[in-house]
Formats: sequence, structure tokens, C-alpha cells
Amino acid sequence: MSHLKYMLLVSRQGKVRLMKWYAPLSSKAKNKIMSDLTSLVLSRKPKMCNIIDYSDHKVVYRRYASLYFICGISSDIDNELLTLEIIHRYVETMDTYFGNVCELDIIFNFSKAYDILNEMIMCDGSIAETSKKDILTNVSMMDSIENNDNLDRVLS
Amino acid sequence: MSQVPRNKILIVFSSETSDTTKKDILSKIFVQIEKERLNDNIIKHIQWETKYYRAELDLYVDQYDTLSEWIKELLSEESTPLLEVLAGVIVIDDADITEHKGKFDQISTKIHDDSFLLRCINSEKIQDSQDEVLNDVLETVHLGSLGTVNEFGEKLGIERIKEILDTHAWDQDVVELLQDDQMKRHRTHVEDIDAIVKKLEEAKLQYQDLSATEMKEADLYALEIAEEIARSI
Repeated sequence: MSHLKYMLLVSRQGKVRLMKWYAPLSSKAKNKIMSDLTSLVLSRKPKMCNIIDYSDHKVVYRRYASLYFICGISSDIDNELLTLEIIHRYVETMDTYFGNVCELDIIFNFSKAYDILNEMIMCDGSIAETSKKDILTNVSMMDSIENNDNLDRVLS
Repeated sequence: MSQVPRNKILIVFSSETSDTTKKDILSKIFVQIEKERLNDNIIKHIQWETKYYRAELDLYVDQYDTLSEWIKELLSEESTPLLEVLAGVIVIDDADITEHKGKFDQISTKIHDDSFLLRCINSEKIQDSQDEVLNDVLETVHLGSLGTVNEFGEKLGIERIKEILDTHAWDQDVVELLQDDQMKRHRTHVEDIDAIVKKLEEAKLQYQDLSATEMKEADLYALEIAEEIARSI
């Protein structure tokens, strides 16, 4: 079982591109986590371990091109390797959806990036769906509903 | 408060950089600049285009004899209006600049939060140890990197600079979203759809008239119309 505390997507330039909080935290605490982890993760060498101890929990991160996917997990409940798999599955799903996803795709389609994440992980941080096919089917369905709405608006 | 858009990129070379190298680097990053403009110190109205937007940016090209003097000048009171409108600063110098880390930190605090600060190295001999020291202040890009992507899929060299420019949060005033153009194309498409819907309505009435008399003829007519619409889509 996995219960993420948060997921952050940070660029190599230190810009936070996406953030999702699964645990109740104050704005101050969120800002502290973002600023601490951005500098901590970006300063790490490529061959260093992807799991680090931070505050009262663990942080698992993985780098894809110019983006760092950072997850906060509970040391006693979560499995670090499973978290790495979750990150990888998320990237794979976005890759299929966008077709070789890049930072620019996420900036300009951030709502889709959140939709895909919401299909994968529930609001309490546990995994909702692991099937890439099902996630993409659901997101495509959302897209077609949205397109139909737009078409109705055009035809009305 | 400045009304000048924050779309200026300051690119500065060390005095050791030859004119040829300078032009070569500029033309590789900004492929859209005409050859004759590469000698200018201020190159305005450069069209930067990605698949999502088109931005107009200005390039300020500078050269220094000593880095410390140049930094001092940039941090002076007179340069404040310039710093306010900078989208980014790119320093191209092969020398060891780690001793100026503190000064670069000052520059990064003086430019806008969204603005970028880059250091580019042209020589292949420079070791990564310098990158690590400077890492938390500015990003180092190795222009002489072999290949365009490393083992992590991260872009290298000129491609990395282009990626930074692509993902930069440009001032709204200088950005034109290409989706607007697509909307225009979409609107023309809608006009086509209107024509198709009208055609379908007419065909439906015609089919009803025909099916009352001759079933086979009505089916042939329906098939003909379906093919015609499929072709127009």
C-alpha cells in the first residue's frame, strides 16, 4: 500500500511545474518543503541515491530529462521502490498521452498533467489505478466530453 | 514600475572569445537572426517560436575584459533599469568563475525571480567540479558537449539553452499563443461544419421524398451523399 504525502515536479531551473499535496499542510510548511527540496534535489549528483531523509519523512525523486519528480512518503507505510515505480508509471502515461512529453507540454497542458495524476492517485495519496490503458481511456473520455461540449456550444 | 516588457536577453562573452565563435554561438541559438545582424550589439524583434507560442525578444550582446569589472558595472545603480527588463543573462566564459559565485548570487537576486542566469562553457577541457560549486546559483551549459541528449534524456549544449528559452515565462505582452491561430483555423472548420449540416438536412428531406417512391434509388442517393461528406471531412 502506498500513501504519498505530496508530489512535486520541479524543473532543472528550480521552477515548480506541478504540485499535489495528499496530506494536510499549512501554506508555510508547503513553501518550506518546496524551497528546501528544490535546492536539495537539484544539488545532488546524478549517481547519488534517489531516496533521501527529509524532516520526519522520506523523499523519493527521479529525474527525467530536465524535470525532477519528487515524492514525499511515510517511512513506516510506504515502499521507496514502489514510489519510484509510481513516478515511472506517471511519466510513461504522460509520454503516451502527449507523445514524448516535454516540460513545455506540461506547462501548456498542466490541467491534463493533473488529470492523469488524479486518475492514478487518490486524494489521500494511495494508488487508485495502475493500468496505463485504463488511465488513458478515462482521460480520453474526459477529452471527448469536453470536445462534445465545445461542439455543442459551436452548433447551438 | 517599468512598462518595458521583460523580454531582453543579455548575452556576454569574455574578451578572449573570437568574433567567429561569437557569431557561431549566436547563430546556433537564434537561427532566425540574419547573418548581417550578428555583428550588432543590440538585436531587436527576434521571433522565438515553439509549438505553443511565439514570442518577440531582444538580444543585448556584450563583451568584457575582466569579469569582476563587468559584474560590478551590472550591479551598479545605473544598471538597475536594465536588470528589471532582463529575461535572462547568459555568460560565455571558459575561465574559472567560481571565485565570483557570490557576485553571481547578487545578480540572481537583482534580476526577476522568473529570469534565468546561465553560464556557458565553450571548451571541452573544463571539469564538472566548477559546475558543482556554482550549481545552486547558476546552471552551467557545456556548448562543446558530445551529442544533444545525455543518459537522463536531458538536453545538452545549444539544445539546452533553447529549452530554457522555450520554457521561460515570457512577459504576456510579447507572447502570442499559437492556439489563437488554431482557433482561427477552427473557426473556418466550423463554417465547413455548418455547410455539412445544411447539406445533411437537405439530403434527409430528399431521401424521405425518394424512399416513398423508390427504395433502391433512395439508398443509392444516401450512399452518394455519405461519400461526398466523407470526402469533404
